[in-house]
Order: sequence, then C-alpha cells, then structure tokens
Amino acid sequence: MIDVAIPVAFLWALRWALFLGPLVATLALGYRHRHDKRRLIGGLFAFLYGLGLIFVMHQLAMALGWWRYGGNVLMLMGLPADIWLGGALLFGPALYFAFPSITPLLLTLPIAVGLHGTVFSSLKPFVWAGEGWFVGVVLVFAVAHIPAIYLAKWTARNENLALRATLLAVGYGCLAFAVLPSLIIHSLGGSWSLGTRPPWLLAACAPCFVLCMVMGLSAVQFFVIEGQGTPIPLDPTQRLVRTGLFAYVTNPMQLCTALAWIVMGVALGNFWVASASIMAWVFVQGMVRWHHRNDLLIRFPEGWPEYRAHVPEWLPRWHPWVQERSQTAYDPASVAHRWIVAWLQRRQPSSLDFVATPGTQTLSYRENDMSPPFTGVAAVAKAFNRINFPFALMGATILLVVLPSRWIISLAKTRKSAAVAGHG
Amino acid sequence: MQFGTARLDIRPTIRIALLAVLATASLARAVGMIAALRAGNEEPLLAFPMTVVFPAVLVILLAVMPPARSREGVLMRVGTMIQLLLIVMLPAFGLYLALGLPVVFLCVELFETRLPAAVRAPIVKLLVA
Repeated sequence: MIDVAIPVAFLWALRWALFLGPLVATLALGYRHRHDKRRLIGGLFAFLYGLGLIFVMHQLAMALGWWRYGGNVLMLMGLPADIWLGGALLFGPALYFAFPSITPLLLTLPIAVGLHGTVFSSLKPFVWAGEGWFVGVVLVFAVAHIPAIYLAKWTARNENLALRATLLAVGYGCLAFAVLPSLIIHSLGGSWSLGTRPPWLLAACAPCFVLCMVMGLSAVQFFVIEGQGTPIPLDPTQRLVRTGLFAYVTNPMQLCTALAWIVMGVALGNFWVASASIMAWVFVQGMVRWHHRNDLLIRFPEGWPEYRAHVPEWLPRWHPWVQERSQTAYDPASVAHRWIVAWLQRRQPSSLDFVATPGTQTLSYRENDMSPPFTGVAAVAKAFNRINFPFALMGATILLVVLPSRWIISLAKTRKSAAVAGHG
Repeated sequence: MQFGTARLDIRPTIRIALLAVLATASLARAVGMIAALRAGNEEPLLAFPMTVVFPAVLVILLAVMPPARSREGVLMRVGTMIQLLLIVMLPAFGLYLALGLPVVFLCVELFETRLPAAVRAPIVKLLVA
C-alpha cells in the first residue's frame, strides 16, 4: 500500500478531475452511442441509481468511521457533492459506455483493489482513511457501483425486468428519502437526529412510513407484472396498468412519496421536509400530467381516458374501479378452500367470480388473458385487491413478500438442478 | 397543445440569446473565481466545475437536443435552461433553485392549460419555432 504525502495543489486538481473527468467521458462516450437510445437510457438509470446509493453508502461509511472527507466546499453531510456526482457518472454511464460488453464485476474489481487499495490512504487531507476502510470500499462497490453498471447493461439489453425495476425502486428510494431530505436539511435547517423526538411519535410514524413504502413498491411490482415495464417513462410499460393499487388511485408512487415526506417531516420535526410533499404535487401537476397527455393518451387512446375518468389522482377510491371480471378457482372438496372462498364472498369483492374446479390443488386467481395467474397465498392477496383499499394494501404487502420469495426459491432450484446436471 | 409527428424546436434567436447569457454568466463567475483565488480564497475555484461547468453543460445539451414532439416539451426545455442559467448567475441560491426545478414544469403546465390564448400565443410564437 502506498502512503505518501501528495501536494495539496495536486489534490485540488484531482478534485476537479474527479468531477470533470467522468463528466467529459460520459458526454463523449454518450455521443458515440447517441443513436442507441436504450443504451443512453441505461446510462441515465445507472447514474441516478449511483447517485442515491453512493450517498447512502458514504453516509454509512462516515458514520462507521471507515473514512471522512476533508475541506468545506460543496459539502453535503460530509460528502463533497462534486465527488459524489463524479462517482455516480464514472461508476455508471462512463464505465458502461466505455466497456459495454465486459462484466461489471470484472470492470470494477481492478479499480476497487488496484486503485483504492493502493492510494486511498495517501489522499489526506482530501480523504482521511479510518479503520476498516477497505471493507467500506468493497461494500460501496458491491451495493452502489456494480449494480449501477448492471442496471445500465440490463436496461440497454431489455432483460431482467424484475431486477432492474427493483434496482430502480431502491435507487429512487435513496434519492427521494435520503438525498432530497438531506438537501432540504442542509439548505433550510434541521437534522436527521431522532434522539430528541418522543418515542410514541416515532412508534406512530414507523408503520405509516412502512405503509407508504408498501404503496410505492406495490406500484412498481404491478408495473412489472401487469405492465411488463418499469415505472420510469423512459423504459415504459407495454400495457396500461389498471390493477393492484392502480384500481384505486392513478399515482400510487407519487402518493407514497408525498405521504412519506409528510411522515418523515413529522418524525424529524422538520416542516421543510414535510413540505417537500408540495413538490410531489407540483411534480404531478407539471411533469406527470404532461407525460400522461404525451405518452399514455397516445399509446392507449381508449383505455387511458376511461381509466382516468374513473380513478382519482390523489385520494384513493374506497372500492376498486375494475373493468374486467376476474376468477378465483378453488376445489369445492377442500375445507380450507371453501372457508377462504366463503370469507372472501362475505366481503363482497368487486367483479370477482368464484369458480368451483374439482381437483384444483391450490387456489388460483386470474385477472385476464394477458396477466399471469396467481396461486396459493398470492391468489388470496390478489382477491383482497377486489374488496376495498385497506384490504388492497394488505394484499399488496403479502404480494411484496410472497412473489419475490417464490422467485428467489425458483432461481435457487434452477441453479441447484443446473449444478446437479453439470456434475452428472 | 400539439401532438403527433410535428417537430418543434426552440427559436434560433432565443437559443442564441440563452447561450450568450450563459457565456456571460460563466465568464463573470470565472473572473470572480480568479479574483477570489488572488485573495487567497480557493472555494470558488473548487466549486467552479460543479456550480458553473455542470449547469453550463446541461444548458448546452438542452440547446442542442433534437426537436421535440410537443410544444410543452420545448417550453420545458426553455424553462429548465432559464433555471440553470439562474443557478450559474446566483450561486448563493443555487441549491434552492435546483430543489425548485419541478416548479418549472408546473409553470409550463399552468401556462399551457390556464393562461388565455391571447397571452399564450405571442409568448409561444416568440419561443417556439
């Protein structure tokens, strides 16, 4: 490991280079790929994901004493904003545009080990390395940089939809609920400290925040399952999504964001963080409505106006607006099935038919010909969606746990059987 | 509102005017940076790439973007360019202006949907080609 004294002037030049280098590289390489729209969108997503995750991971690193930054220029909670943006550009669009076909792990490993491992502790007073800094570097690469490049790659190739939507949701979550409140606190006052806040208040805010997250994440999940796309209009859905929480409110993600900012503002005792929800409303009035008119109305000229006429933007309906009947198939010989169906029927779900199908192993739910079938617990959760908004939220929570768990289990099974076949 | 295959762009004179303002503001910031450096204050030097070069690059990118499909798209570009110019010109308010960027989109929406056509038309004619 090299630990030498580097002249301060060189370090300031380095700071310029760490921002302008990735910026120029991204622009030049982006220009080279200017006709490949998906690649450019992939690069943008990688940048945004990196922006959120780098910030959060650096806060963690500084809190754990892995490293800290010197200086007082352009600092946001101890992180130089230009280094942060430069990092998001370099370990996102710049590296992806430069080496689109190299595996992100191979691409970043030499930088993580070679560059950071050798010069990291020589960068004083720019960066002060603390105990366990290398673990921190590895973690930042594992959580922020490598997934960012994968996100770019998958978006450009239009593959791994579920994973890239998950990364987009995580990135958005970090930007909306860590970066933006930090910027507000930095510019308008306040702190992240919850130590002085009444415990009962925090206990009340925590479930409200979780509920907001359920709303937002469920919307992303339905964009993937029903819409076959991501929530970001640049990588849009193939179909108009009108099921799930979208049967109650047209903007569940914006509603989630606005409510979460209010909850955060109450928890932190910060009026300005809470008032960021006004910005969510402003965003919907300005940007989202424009997107609705210029994209959804054009792509779905019949479906969108009808849906929009029945489903409100902000205040969810009590009962869902459903256009098509859905079916729940059950085995009349099964006591459990009969009990579940009777329980659901008592709650009078909208446009849901219960079809007795002797021999059916598990309950199954089918929305329409385009949607995938849901089975077992997921079928019950989907049926909840047809009752009312609180039940729909409950169903959304269940689906957020069940569907990814099943996906992970099926992936593990596939890998295991592939490994067995390989040995055979 | 205009949709479909129509291609709309920022009027060349407006584009040139915005770029001229950008050049002037950037030059003023560079002069200020050199003066501060001579006085022993290196802060403007360190902040220059992020607070001048970056917004300036974004303004240039918006200026050279291909034509838009809708008039609102062009107006949003112009609004964002003006906001970025303000960020370059008013460094003390840079963060507030950046946080308030969605207001630009709201202004364009209100301009398009609420303003009387008699007021809107001449402004659109001035900005959109």
